[in-house]
Amino acid sequence: MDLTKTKRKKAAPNPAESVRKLKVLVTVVNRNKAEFFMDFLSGFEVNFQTAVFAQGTARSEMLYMLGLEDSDKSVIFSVIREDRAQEILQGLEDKFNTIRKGKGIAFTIPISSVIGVAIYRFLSNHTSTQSPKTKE
Amino acid sequence: MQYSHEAIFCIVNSGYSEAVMDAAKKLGACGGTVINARGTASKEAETFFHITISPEKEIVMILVPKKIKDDVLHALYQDVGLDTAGQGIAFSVPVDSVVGLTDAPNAKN
Repeated sequence: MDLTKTKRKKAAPNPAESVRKLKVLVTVVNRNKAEFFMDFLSGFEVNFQTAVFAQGTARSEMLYMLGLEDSDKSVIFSVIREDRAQEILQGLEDKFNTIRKGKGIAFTIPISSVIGVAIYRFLSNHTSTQSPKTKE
Repeated sequence: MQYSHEAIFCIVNSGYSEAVMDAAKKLGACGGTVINARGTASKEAETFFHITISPEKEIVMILVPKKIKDDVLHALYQDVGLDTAGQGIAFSVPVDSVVGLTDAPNAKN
């Protein structure tokens, strides 16, 4: 009897409400703008991001057309929450269009699984202590 | 949700990123990003198969429209695949939403 009770209790909280999906946001920008974009992204509850140096390979006439002269790039990998993805991409697009030599590319890749509750809460910036406990 | 673009990751020996981009551009890819990396193949496997794997690698990341993804992967397999000096492997991941791509005409295709 106890079992059925706990079972019902477990089923009660809506998992869609407490578990938010994560995505990897990949942003390719000029190297000297990387710091700026990382600062910008950290304003969207992004707790984990890492930047690596890279080289762009677009054709020279294409570079001229886009107003990009240097091929030194940074690739920023950030873990973001799905519910904020659109907002973040919108913000990035605005920055790409308005900042001088700040043109870049950004896309998101869905994350299918993460191991570890603490890690998940860190990545999703899950500060309230309630819902993960009730889920277990 | 439908995915309009795919990100192709191609891992090749250092110095072969040009070859990767040449192969990809033939099919209409506009540009790529090259990241330096280091491979970590097991020493036992290397001695068993009598091959040497240079640890210096380059990862080429190319964002392409979904409809040319298969063609680009095939071209990469032919031109810089494991049988070639580039010893490349390539895979693609679906990409949710893309911003920042100008709708440049895909030159050759």
